[in-house]
Amino acid sequence: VTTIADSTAFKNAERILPQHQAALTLLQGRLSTPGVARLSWLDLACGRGQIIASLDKNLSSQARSKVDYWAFDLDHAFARETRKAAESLGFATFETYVGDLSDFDKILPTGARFDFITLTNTVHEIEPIRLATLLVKCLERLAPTGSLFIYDMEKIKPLELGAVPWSRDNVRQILLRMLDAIGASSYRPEVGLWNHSTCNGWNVQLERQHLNLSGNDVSARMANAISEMRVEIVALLRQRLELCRASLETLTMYGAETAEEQEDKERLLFEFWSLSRALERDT
Amino acid sequence: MRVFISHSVTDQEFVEGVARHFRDKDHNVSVSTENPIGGSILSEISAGIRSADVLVAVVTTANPNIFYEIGLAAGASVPILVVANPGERLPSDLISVPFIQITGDGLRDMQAIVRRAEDVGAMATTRARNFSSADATLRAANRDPALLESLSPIDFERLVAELFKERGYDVTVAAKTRDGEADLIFTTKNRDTVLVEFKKLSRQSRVSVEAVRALLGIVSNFGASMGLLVSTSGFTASALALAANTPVTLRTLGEVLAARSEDELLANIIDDPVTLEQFNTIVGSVGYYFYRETEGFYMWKLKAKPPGGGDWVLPDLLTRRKPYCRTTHSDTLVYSRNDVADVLMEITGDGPFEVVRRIRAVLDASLQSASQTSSGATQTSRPPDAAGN
Repeated sequence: VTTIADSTAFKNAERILPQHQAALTLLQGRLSTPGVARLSWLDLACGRGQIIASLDKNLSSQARSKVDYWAFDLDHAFARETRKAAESLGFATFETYVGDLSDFDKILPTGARFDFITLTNTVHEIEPIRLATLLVKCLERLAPTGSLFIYDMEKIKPLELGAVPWSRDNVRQILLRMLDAIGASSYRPEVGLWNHSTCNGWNVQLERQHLNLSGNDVSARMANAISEMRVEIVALLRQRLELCRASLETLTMYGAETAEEQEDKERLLFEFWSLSRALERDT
Repeated sequence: MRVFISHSVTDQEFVEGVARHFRDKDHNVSVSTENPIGGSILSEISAGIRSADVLVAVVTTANPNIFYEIGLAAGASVPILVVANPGERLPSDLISVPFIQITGDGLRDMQAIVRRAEDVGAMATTRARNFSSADATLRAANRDPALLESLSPIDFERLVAELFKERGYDVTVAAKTRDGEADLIFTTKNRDTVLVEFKKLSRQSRVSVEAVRALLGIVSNFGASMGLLVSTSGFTASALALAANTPVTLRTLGEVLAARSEDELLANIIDDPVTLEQFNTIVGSVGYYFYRETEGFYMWKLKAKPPGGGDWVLPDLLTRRKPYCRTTHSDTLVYSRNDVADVLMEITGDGPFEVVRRIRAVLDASLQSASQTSSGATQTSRPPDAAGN
């Protein structure tokens, strides 16, 4: 996995993605719910602490004092930065963990459950074949009324070697396959598409209670859900690779006719590498 | 005809008479000083003027409101008829605007104003809102780049959706169903689902390979039968090549308008880009020949043999500055089919479908001769089978 979010975009007001704000808004709602005295929040792939960067303005000190903040990233330096940012925020408790994202479940204490899990701006960094496990493990780690909030970009700019961004449509297909396999086929969460001045992205919220399944049910059906999702993911990757190959074939024959097409060509080349690599690792 | 009468209160009685004469002749009349129900007077007046076919401005007094309203009409290209008293000194900006002088004979003046306004209104340049149908609007927009530019992408989508409905096709605006990332969902007579995507670009642009790739992905993910990509300009050679033999059909606006049936609209008649040799066969069939003036990559010309013989000539209209590209693996020149179709339409005056058929015929013939050659080769090299054939 390549390093995550090494940019300083979150410090540039024009480039702050509205979806960071969406995560905070969801958090505000949960913390304002009467009777909520504590809330555990797992910030998966916290990067340099993008989401908590403006937490002091979004949540009162009283609300922040209810939060048990768990930050996870694969980069030591990033985790340190997040730790530094978290220190001054007055959380009830906070912990930072470092490790490969797809191993988060092995690294976090067994049995820890979360009211809120954020997985933001990261899915493109995750090896596609490990995505299934990661998402199912996230579901398993949710408290009975917990929710998982995910967003990511549909296209990465500047291009990153090895990144596999997903479209909203594909994300929906993968999630529905997961829900069907886990036995929650009546739950059809919305996957939204949003446009930002610098990128397009998708987002989704998964509510644990809507699965209508006990913890044991989820554990028992996890392996099946993961394998079904992997089938879906591999099928989508193959289809994308085939289209990518065909597009590059025509560009090889006829060239790029416009500057836009030249950009497309570069993106397709990156995509070709990412997809071939992802599929290679599957076999 | 929609008539807007701009006047000051002092002329109220006269203007009511004029309005009655317009209504007698079935014209739709709005009058500037009638109070709107709610809302801003200015926006009512402005909308009234912008949607009018002619503005009649009664300038018997130098009322600034009237001149403001004349300005609004001028800015919106609404034709103006100025009605003034004899000896009235008009501002110099207005001296060349159609003008009628009041004689004082009420009935005669009113009839004269209606007659002149009808003339002036009929001279109106065609504007989008004046067209009776989406078909007519889009045809005009396809001819007139300025009109096309003035349509927003949403207007354009709406117009094409209306066009399809006018033709009796079963279409749904996808935004309402939210099932797909297409602009329109088209259901064919055979109940097949076609996802329609629009690309409204400036005339010089080309829709690139990425748009085709994206639509192919969406069509497959949604289990739709087909995709239809409609461009106001052309497609790149790579885009055409990618779409060839796939469930995605590429159509220019001109082709959409010229399609006389659902089959013509949806059939994937996009061929691989045309080679120089094929291009010459195509234009050669109507008496032209490719002529490259310089080694430049972006300039090409056609020369023509005049009817009845004589020297080759280079008609101006067939000099184009259009890109062509060389295939990387050979020295073959290729052209986008749209460019070839454009040239052929210009030479022959035929519509896009006739032209496409003509191109298709040549391409099919070359394909056939190629396959005959290759199947011939196979036969000679094939060892006799068990039966000894």
